Amino acid sequence: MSIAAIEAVGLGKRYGRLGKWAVQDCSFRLPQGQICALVGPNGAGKSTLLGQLAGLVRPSRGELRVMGKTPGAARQQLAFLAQEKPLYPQFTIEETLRMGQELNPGHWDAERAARIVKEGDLDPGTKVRELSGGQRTRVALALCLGKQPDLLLLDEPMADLDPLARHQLMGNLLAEAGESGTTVVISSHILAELEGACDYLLLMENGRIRLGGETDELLSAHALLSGPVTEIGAGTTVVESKVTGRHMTALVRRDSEPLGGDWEVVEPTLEELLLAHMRSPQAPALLTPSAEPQAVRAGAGVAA
Amino acid sequence: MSGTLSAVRVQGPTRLVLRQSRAVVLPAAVLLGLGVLAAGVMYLVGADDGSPLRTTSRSLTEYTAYTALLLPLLIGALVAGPLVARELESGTYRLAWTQGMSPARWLAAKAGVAAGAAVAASVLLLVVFRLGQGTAEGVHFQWHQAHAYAASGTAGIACALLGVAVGTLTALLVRRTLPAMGVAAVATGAVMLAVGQVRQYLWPAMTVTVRESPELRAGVLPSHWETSSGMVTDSGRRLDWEGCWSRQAAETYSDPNACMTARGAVEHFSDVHPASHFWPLQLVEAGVVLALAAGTVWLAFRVLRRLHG
Repeated sequence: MSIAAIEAVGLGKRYGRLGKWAVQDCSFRLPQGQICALVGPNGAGKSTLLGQLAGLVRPSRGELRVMGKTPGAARQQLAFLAQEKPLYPQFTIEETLRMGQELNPGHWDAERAARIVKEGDLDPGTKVRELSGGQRTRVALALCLGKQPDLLLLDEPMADLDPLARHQLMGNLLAEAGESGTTVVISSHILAELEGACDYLLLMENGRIRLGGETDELLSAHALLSGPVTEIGAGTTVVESKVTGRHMTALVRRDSEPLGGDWEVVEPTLEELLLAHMRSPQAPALLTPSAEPQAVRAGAGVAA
Repeated sequence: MSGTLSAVRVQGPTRLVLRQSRAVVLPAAVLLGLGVLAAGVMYLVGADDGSPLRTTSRSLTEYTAYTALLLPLLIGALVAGPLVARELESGTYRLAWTQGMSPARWLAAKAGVAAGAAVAASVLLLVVFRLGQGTAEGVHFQWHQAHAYAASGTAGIACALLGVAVGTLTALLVRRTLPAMGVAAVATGAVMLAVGQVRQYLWPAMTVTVRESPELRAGVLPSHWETSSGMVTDSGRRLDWEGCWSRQAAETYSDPNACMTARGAVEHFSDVHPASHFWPLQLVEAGVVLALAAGTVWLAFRVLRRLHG
């Protein structure tokens, strides 16, 4: 099997010696070439995880490989768009792109970066501090894509964009990524933003990955049952069940076929799947085979 | 081949730091111009006694010396705040570090540019001060006075570099622009005060002794830096003045010297650094301060690695 874009085993990050663990026991694998949504409620640890992947935050414990290397060594191969879209305010757009060129000798696509800026109808001589939120996002994205990364990490990229710009930039981004085979991780707490765009999913909560894998495989691994109130078979993992009068709906794992009982069975939507998991913290984690970390260094895997 | 490659890599970050610091380049150029102008004035005034320029030259020389004394604090504050902590505070470091520049290279570029500027500024002050001191004979700077000492040798340059080092470390620990500036200035000042306290011990002092002289200070020249004085017994033991200045002693003895003589003191002594100790002191101090600066920079890179890997 080829090298994974990301492989994390028992990853943890604690701010300060006595602080809360922002990321804890976090293990997953992301194959190359995927467009991956990293979803979870606010405070789930998404930004910290992305910071670790980008080589900005040193993990307190655990193993992390990005494109088969430590994040620090993979710096040339990855691009990161932080939530606040940091750019030097005193630079013009042109100077910002020139900086990208100078700092990424040998793998900078000036034409591509200029094209993304031009599509936003921006004057290259404009100072960054004079740009609107959406325009900043566009320039920051041009900087990320001009670098021609193998892995592109985006932290809440579309939060400050209007729906039209969001749609346009997202389409732009996915087309660029698809063309070059770039692996993309997009974090968001707005599920609708990512539906349909992402073929891979990571659900993060309390610093851990609770669901990981191909979106359609995760969906088909679950079933939404509805029918009269009955006991659900002991071999079936119930993620969430709700009783309304004599009627009952339940989201279960298809881990013991057949499900039995007098159920109406449908595949849940992505939103139903995610919300059911977020409402039920006791439900066990599920990683599809491709999301299971493999290249585990001996002994590193079981760190508590 | 590899030489060219690394040259390109070093260039990018350094050029970025310079471009970021554009806002201070112009004021710095103006200050540089003023400095050169001041040097010119000092040079032209020469020995021309009594002219109004003469007074100007004297005060310029004095201001130069005070500037040199405070320069490390200013450098520490500027490096800690606008240069490093501002990026940590505003989050732009994440831009730099994910655009192909490792945290260590980023910090090295910042500290390198700052060190270059610090050396340039302190050398300029040194030249201006030396010119002013050389031409204005009426101005008597004691070579060991703190401001003159800082403006006239290697120790001042080393202290400017110490400011860079302390500023760098402070920025990483404090991470907010204004507090980092304050802490860095205070910390640099504290280290310099401490170095000033131990300065006299950095080179062995010379002892001057005077027996039975009405002139207490005979043997101590005006150019000497006297670091301590007292009396010694015949066997060479040093006596302190304990009790000899008290009212009780005054009732018994005609003066404190008589009191000391009664306790066995036979000679006055002074520990002094003659002017010839200037360079040894300057060089040893520069060495000590540079070692401190190097240790501080090492610590800064360790902190950076620990936090950000």
